Amino acid sequence: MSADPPRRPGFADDSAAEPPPTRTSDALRTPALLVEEGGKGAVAVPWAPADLSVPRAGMGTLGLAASGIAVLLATWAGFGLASVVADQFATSPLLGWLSLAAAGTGAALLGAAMLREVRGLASLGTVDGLAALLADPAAPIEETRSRALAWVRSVARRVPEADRVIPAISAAGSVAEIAAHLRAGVAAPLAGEAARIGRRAAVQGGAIVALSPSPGLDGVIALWRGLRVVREVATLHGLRPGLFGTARLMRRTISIAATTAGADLIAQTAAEGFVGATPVVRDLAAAVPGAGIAAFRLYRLAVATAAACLPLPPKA
Amino acid sequence: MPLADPVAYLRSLIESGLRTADDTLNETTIRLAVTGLSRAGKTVFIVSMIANLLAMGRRLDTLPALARRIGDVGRLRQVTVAPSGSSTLPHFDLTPKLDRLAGREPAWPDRTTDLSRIALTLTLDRAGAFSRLAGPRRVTLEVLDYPGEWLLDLPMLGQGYADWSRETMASLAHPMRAGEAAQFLAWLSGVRASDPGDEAVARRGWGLYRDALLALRDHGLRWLQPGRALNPGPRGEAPVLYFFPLPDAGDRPAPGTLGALLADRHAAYLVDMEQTEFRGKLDRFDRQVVLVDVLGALHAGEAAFEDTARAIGAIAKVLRRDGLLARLLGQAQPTHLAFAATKADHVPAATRPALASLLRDLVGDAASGEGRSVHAIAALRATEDTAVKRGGAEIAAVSGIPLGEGGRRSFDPGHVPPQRPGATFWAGPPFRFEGFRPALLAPDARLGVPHLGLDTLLADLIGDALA
Repeated sequence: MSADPPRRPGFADDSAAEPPPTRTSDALRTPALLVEEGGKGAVAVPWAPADLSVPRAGMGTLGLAASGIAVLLATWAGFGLASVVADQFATSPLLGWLSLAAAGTGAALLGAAMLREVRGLASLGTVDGLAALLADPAAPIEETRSRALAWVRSVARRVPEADRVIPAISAAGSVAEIAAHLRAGVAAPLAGEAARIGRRAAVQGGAIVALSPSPGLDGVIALWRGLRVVREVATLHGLRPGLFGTARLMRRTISIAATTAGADLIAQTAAEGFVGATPVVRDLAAAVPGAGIAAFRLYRLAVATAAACLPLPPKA
Repeated sequence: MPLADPVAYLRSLIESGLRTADDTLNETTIRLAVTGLSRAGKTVFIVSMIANLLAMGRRLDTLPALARRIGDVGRLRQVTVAPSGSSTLPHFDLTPKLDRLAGREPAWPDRTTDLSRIALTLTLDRAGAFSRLAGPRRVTLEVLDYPGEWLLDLPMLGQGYADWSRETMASLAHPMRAGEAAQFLAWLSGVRASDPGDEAVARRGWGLYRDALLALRDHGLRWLQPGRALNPGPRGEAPVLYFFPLPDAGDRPAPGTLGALLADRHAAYLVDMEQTEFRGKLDRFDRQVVLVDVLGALHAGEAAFEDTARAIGAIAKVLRRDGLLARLLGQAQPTHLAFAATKADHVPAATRPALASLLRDLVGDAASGEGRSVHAIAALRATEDTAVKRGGAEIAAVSGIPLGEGGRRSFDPGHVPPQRPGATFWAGPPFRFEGFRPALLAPDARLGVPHLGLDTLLADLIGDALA
């Protein structure tokens, strides 16, 4: 307990609010508004909420080892090439220029591949950015609108009917409204198109598995066809996934298949009347049991990939 | 038409069955009633809670205690405003309220004049790897904003007109109330319950009584009935409101008399409020927070303080539906009840525990037991802690911009007793203070809203549903 005499509330610069000297033996300090603190301006309460994002695990042991090997290989190849070119120049200028042109062409092709990877990852990042904006009702509407329109235009190259929502998105008054237009006018035709890709992959994959000479090859065939499905669906959604982009998308698809879209996938699969609507698969499933399972998995992969590529938050 | 397209019919059956299974497994709804007396800060509480939960969905630690309660915060996938569905209640319009608070010239939201509702959906991953196969959980938090004035009609529901009149007249006899209601009381001295039930007399009496209630509210008093006399709501004034207490009201007034007319209106008013504003609204909430401006009541003087204490006690008693039978049947409501002394930013940090302790003392038994808690909070912190010299000694105070002023001033809230104060506390005059302007916020409150203690309150109130 403080030994100070109790006070009454008030402002400090208010002379009338000065504490009454000794009204009673246990006089209370009265409330008061105190010293004028002009010049300090508006109150900006210290407020800097920490980031809750789970920190990335960073590079694991295998990743570090792989990176080290890659750097060593690249250095070895680079110095080796330089040495070869230098040797050729020492032998004859013509051979030197030829070897330099060959090495330059190879480096340019590698650079083009890397550029494609970077662009693929950037396109994934763009869709992720739009997803973050659409999930947030307080997101700046103009930024959300311009990103949404850019995405719709990229999708409309393959799904022309997506174009119809452009005027509605241009006139939308809220982030929620933009999300609703995207869901109704873009997500729905994309889902239909992704299901079509899935059915086609199912028929092809099921048929190839049925024809494969060894059960050991089934897994390889399913993986190869699965990767193609992921890339086709991603391209449909305006993405350009390269090697790393596809791997990232694959990881997200698996996560979605395992969590978010579990019940949705089952419902959608049932709703599509998959087996009933695809006689080839039905016949294959009857003849070769493994083929039916492979086909079903490829179809589900297409549906899950479509969910992973959409920038829309899952329906509440 | 099942026979016309049996495949489509079967498909829709499967789809709806799976959807139902998913909803049953993954969908949880918690209903939170934000109640409290008028000017306690209910609307700001809701705005701050929603802004901070939305910011938490953007991975900002705006509610640390709630984040700790959730455990692995990485499980919180997103927080969105849920669609209104087919609710018959008006939508709580978050955006204009946030715009006002986070504008260039921050201003508090307007007084609540009607019921409104808003819902948030929090999507959380399940904790275990195996249970994740069932999909993420969706917790819908439905929040009701309720005009504080109408809450005081709840204790009226169990009273007849004669009892209410006797109680109200006894309350008006208090010197402070009698002073503000002098005109009404003078007029009433010439009126008898046995007078003919004349419409003009009834309207005149009601007008004077309403004016007295408004004046008393301005003096910090809260036990003011009926609530719609102060806040008619969107339906506006109606003849059913035109009643007032009579000193000689009898239990069985003779037909055709003023007493009978007022008793009929009193009964009709209660039926109307019970059917349109309480039933299906306040009684369906399983969590409740009662906000109280304890500091304002303390500063407004003994009468206002006692009035507030009486009102809190009555509201808490009426809203609790956790008798033995309800508990045995698992129907006890609300399951979680929190009392919060608001405007905790008007007192320095060292005094805040005393504010909570004072509220605990006022609430008494209603705050004890499982799922009950008492807090001191500021839903939107408008001040900074500081130290100033007063009376030759350095004291802890808070610094902010008082409403209606342009510059910052330090505020000493005076002595805040941890328990109901004794008679000597009330020797000084009441202190009138409208409060501080809101602090500057980031545009759209994207970083959430600075607060004091809101996270702890929410952890106690809804944390179990998110853990």
